[in-house]
Amino acid sequence: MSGRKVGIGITISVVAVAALIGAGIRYAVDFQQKPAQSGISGTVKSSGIARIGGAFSMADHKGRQVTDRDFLGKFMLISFGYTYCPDICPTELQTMSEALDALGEQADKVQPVFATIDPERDTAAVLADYLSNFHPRFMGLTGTATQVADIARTFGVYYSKVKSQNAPGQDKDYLMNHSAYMFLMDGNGKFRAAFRAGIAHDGMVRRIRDELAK
Amino acid sequence: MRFLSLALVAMLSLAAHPAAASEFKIGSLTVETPWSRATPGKARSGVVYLTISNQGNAPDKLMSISTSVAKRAEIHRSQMKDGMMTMDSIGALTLRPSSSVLLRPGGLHVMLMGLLAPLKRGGSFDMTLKFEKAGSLTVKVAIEKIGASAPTRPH
Ligand SMILES: [Cu+2]
Repeated sequence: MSGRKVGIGITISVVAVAALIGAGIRYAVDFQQKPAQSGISGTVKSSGIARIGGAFSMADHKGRQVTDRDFLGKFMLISFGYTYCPDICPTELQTMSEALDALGEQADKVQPVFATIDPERDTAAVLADYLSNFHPRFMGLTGTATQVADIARTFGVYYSKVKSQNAPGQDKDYLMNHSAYMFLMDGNGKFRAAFRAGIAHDGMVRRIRDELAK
Repeated sequence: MRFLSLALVAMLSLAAHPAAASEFKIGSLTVETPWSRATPGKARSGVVYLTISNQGNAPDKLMSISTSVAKRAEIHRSQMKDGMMTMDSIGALTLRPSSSVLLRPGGLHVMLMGLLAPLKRGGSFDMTLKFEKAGSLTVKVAIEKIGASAPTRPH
């Protein structure tokens, strides 16, 4: 493993640990009734380096069952969010789309993926409609609450429903807090890079090119 | 002479705003290029971005926002907290003299909650900003595509 990869691993794990602490507090404050909603447990190994990626089983935006094995052989650029998110998520998907456009022919080696952390509202059909606004090769992932919690845990992604001030428990307009990273995985399903929300697409493109060349 | 000065003003403003940005003024405040993003399916929240400049010598405050397209409009800030992206309502927005506040993707934004109908790309809607001192100003918000990072259409 190169020095750079180790560095990123540590950065991610620091974030994950901080998040674990923060999420613990939020957990106590925000959603006493919904522990299953947060994909926070098991993201940090005893070594202190978070493991990103692993086995998952989800449905794609066309309703087909897929697993992590279906993504092997190609790089995967995956972000987590929800379609009702007006500010951050569309920005991320736009950045990913622009990065793929800028990659030119090399874009064929990368599968862009948007995985929802809000399966309650983001059905396959909702995802398909949403993703039609972005790169044409985008794949959406959704599933049961458990499947989503599992894939989120696999990637060290955590999320929580924001409690509504108006009508607790029955508000369909709820917002979500969630990790806003985009992950680059290689053809063997191994973690290569994480990008923060707000990164410009050209920085992402450089890194993807580097990783493809390795 | 009058014509000349008008022409001069027109030329100057053209030079300052090559993209022919939309601009709304009240007192010493200018609201520039309010724009929004189309919303997907049944999503009930939307977003508005704009720039507010205070050219005066005294501070002012953006107190509240209203629009007929949503039940509520709040000023929000997206920020990373404990590794999670959160959006917090920040109440009133202070406008310092001789400075601008930028509302743009990934940071400060106007959050539209309880949208009454999806926002369609290419459309527009009115939104009223209430300032503590300057009073109320209604601006026209242009709807861009989902995921747009900046306003694109000339208005
Ligand atoms: Cu918001």
